[in-house]
Amino acid sequence: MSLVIAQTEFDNIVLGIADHQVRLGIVTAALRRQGDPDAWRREEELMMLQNIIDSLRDYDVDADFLTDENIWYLHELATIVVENCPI
Amino acid sequence: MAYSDFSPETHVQEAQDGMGFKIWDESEWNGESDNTTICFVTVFFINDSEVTIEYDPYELISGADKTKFEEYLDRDGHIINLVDLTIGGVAAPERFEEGYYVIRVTYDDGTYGSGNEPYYDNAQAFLAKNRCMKRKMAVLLVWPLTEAGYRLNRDIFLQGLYLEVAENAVDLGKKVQFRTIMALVKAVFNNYEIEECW
Repeated sequence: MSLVIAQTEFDNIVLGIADHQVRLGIVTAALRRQGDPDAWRREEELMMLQNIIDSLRDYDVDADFLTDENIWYLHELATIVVENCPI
Repeated sequence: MAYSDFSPETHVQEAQDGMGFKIWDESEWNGESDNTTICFVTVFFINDSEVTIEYDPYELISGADKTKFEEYLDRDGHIINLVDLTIGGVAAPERFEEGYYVIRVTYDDGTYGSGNEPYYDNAQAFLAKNRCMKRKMAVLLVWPLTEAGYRLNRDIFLQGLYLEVAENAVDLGKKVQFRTIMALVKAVFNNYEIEECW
């Protein structure tokens, strides 16, 4: 079963996550420059967002490989990561 | 008259569902693409036993019809669907098997003898299924990250990296190295019990 969501809406979700990732990247880079010991944790979260983006980016919503639940879970997960990060 | 200064180059991109690929031209034609009267694509699959499976030629120019060839010349490219390919006159499998492929495009302006035509070989990894399985891995992630979560997070990231390395190995014609990398990729998928996409 293909997704109910339209490709454009889906692509915008991915762009939104990428935008969060950029902001987290800025914060992480600053921590890294300051030698902050917490930088590695932010880097793990950065990697997590990258993994989520890689799962979703360029995905054809007419394909059947990810379920609606998968898509919304990854979206929610990305949101939680961002909400828990100091950006 | 043969092409005066022709440097062929073709790019290939497999479809996400492994049921075809897009092919487009990046050749330097010196203004002579219109002279082409014969152009066909031949797919070679080199399996893990080094056996080459040759698909039947797929014509981009069929008689006077140059529609496919013109699409191929355009950056948007021409899509070759697997249903349009045959092997020894028999329909090809529904999806490309994962692995090492060479996509050859042969050109002729009518002046070359058979077997002497210019051609371009594009060595290409077809890894649509592995790419699809990698997409599924992120669904295993949970928040907050635990020790196991950190390991999974890194494994997912590295799985993408290893797939890139495998593709680079094929681009460089390194078959053995490609298989070595893909053995690791497969082991990681098995470790996390990722279901095959098809």
